[in-house]
Amino acid sequence: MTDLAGGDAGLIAASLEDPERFAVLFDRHAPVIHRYVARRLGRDAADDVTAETFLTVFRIRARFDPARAGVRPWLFGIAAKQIGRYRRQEVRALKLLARTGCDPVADSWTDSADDRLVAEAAVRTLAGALARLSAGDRHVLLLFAWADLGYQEIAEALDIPVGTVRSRLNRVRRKLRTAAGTAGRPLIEAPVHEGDPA
Amino acid sequence: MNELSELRRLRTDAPLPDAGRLAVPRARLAAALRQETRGGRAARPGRRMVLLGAATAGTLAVAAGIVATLPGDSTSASAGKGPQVLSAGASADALELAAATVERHGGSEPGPKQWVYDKSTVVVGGKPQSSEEWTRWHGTGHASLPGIPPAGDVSDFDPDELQVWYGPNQEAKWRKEGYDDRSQRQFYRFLATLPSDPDRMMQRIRQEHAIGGIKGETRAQRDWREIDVLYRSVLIPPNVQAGLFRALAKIPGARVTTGVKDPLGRAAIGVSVTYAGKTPAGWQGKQEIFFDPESYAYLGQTRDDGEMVSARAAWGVVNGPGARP
Repeated sequence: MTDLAGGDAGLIAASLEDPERFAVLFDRHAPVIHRYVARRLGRDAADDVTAETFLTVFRIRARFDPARAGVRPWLFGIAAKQIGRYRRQEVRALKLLARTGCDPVADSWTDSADDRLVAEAAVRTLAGALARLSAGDRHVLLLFAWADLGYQEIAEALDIPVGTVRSRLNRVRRKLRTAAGTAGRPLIEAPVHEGDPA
Repeated sequence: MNELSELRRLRTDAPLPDAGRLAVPRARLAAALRQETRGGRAARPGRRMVLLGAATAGTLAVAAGIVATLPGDSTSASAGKGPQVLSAGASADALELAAATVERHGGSEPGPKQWVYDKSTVVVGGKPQSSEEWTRWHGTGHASLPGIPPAGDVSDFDPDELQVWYGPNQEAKWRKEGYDDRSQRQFYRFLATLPSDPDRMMQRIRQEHAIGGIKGETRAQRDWREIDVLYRSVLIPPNVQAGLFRALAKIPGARVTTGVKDPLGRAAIGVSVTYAGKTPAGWQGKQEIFFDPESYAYLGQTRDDGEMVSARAAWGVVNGPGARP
C-alpha cells in the first residue's frame, strides 16, 4: 500500500490531528467490508458490524503500523472480531441452510420471495460443513475465498503466523472436500499442497 | 468444481451497499469524529474551572452553585483551532459528511395552520438589527416584530406590538400564476420533488426556482446564487439539504473553513467562494455561508463587500404568531 498523501496510511496519520479526515477511509473501504459481512451475517448485522468496525479502528488508529500490508487487512481483522459477536447467529443460519435449503442471510437482500431459491444439495452440504468449522477456521477460509485476501494479509488480519494460515486453510479445504465426498459427490480436484496459494 | 469455487458461488449475489445503506454506520462514525474533534480541543492545555455562563445564564448558575469545566479559551468556545481552510479534497469530504448527516434528519412537514418562526439579524453599519417573522405554513398569515410602520400617520404606531396579517388561502391562485409567489408549503413541496443527484437537482432549480439567470454569469456563479437564496428558507427537506451540500462541493473553488464564527459569534463551518472581480450579479470578494458544525443547520452568510451580513438567530415551528420555539 502506498503512503501518498491520499493513501490510507497517510490518511490515518492525518486523522490523528484532524479526526474528520477519517471519514474518507470509511468511504473508501466500508462498501467492501459491508458486503463481506452481509455475505456472512445478512445486511442488518452488516450495518452494525460495519459501524462498530470503523468506530473501533478510529479509536485505535494511533496503533496502526504503516509497515503493515495495508489498512484493508486490518479492517477485515477488526471486522472478524465484530463478526464473532454474531457467531451463533451465523452458525444457526448455516445450519438452517444445510437442513432446509433456505438461506436467511441471502433473504436479507432478496426482496421478493419469488426470487428466493432453495439451495441445491451441494450448497447445503457446504453450508453444513461451514457451520461445523471452528470460528478461527471459518475466518481464515472466508477471508481467503470471499474477501480475496492473500496469506500474508490474512495473517496480519487475524494476527497469526502466515504458516498457520497456510496449514489452517489446507486443513479446512480437506474438511470441505470430505464433507462433499461423504455427500456422494466425486472428488475432482487434486489434493492441495502446502503453500498452494489457491 | 473444487470446494473453493463452490464456496465462492455461495451467496455470491451479496450486494455492495449503496450510500443510503451506509448512511447510518457513517453517521455513527461521523458523530464519533466530531466528538473527538471537540474532545481534543477541550483537552488542550489551559483548562480551568469557570463559573458557567457569565452573561445570560449567570445568575441562575451561580445561585444553583453550578460549576463546569470549560476550555481555557472559553470565550472562543469550540473554535479552539481557529479558522482552517480545507483543501479542495478535504472540503468535498466535509461537505459529503454534512450531506450524509442532514440526510438522516427527519423531515416532517408542519401542519397547515402552524407557523414558521425565523429570527434574523442583519448587520447594518456595524450595528446588528434583529427582527422576528412568523409565516403560516399554507400562506394565510404573516406576523412580524418589530412591525412595519404604516403609511401616513405613525403617531400611535408601536414597533414592539406584534403585527399580524391574515388572508385567504391563495395557494391555487399562486400555483396558476407561477412560482414567484407561493406559500412556504408550496415551496417546500416543490423542493421535495427535486432529484437527490446534485447535478439534476441544480438543473431543476435553475429551471423552476426562477430567481433568473444574469447575462454573462457562469454556471458556478449562478448555482452559488441559487443556493445562497435557497438557504434563506427555514425549512428544507433533508434530501434537498443534502443535495445542496453536494452541489456546493461541485462548485469550482468552493472551500470549507472549519473553526470559524458566524456573524453572531457562534461556532461554525464556512463554505465560501471568492470572486476576484465583480460577477455579472455584482458580487465581489469572498462570499461565505455558515453552518452549525454539528447539525449543519444554516446559520447565516456574509459578503466581503459588506453588503450582506445576515444570520439566522433562531428558528422553528410554532402554533401561533408571537410564539417562540
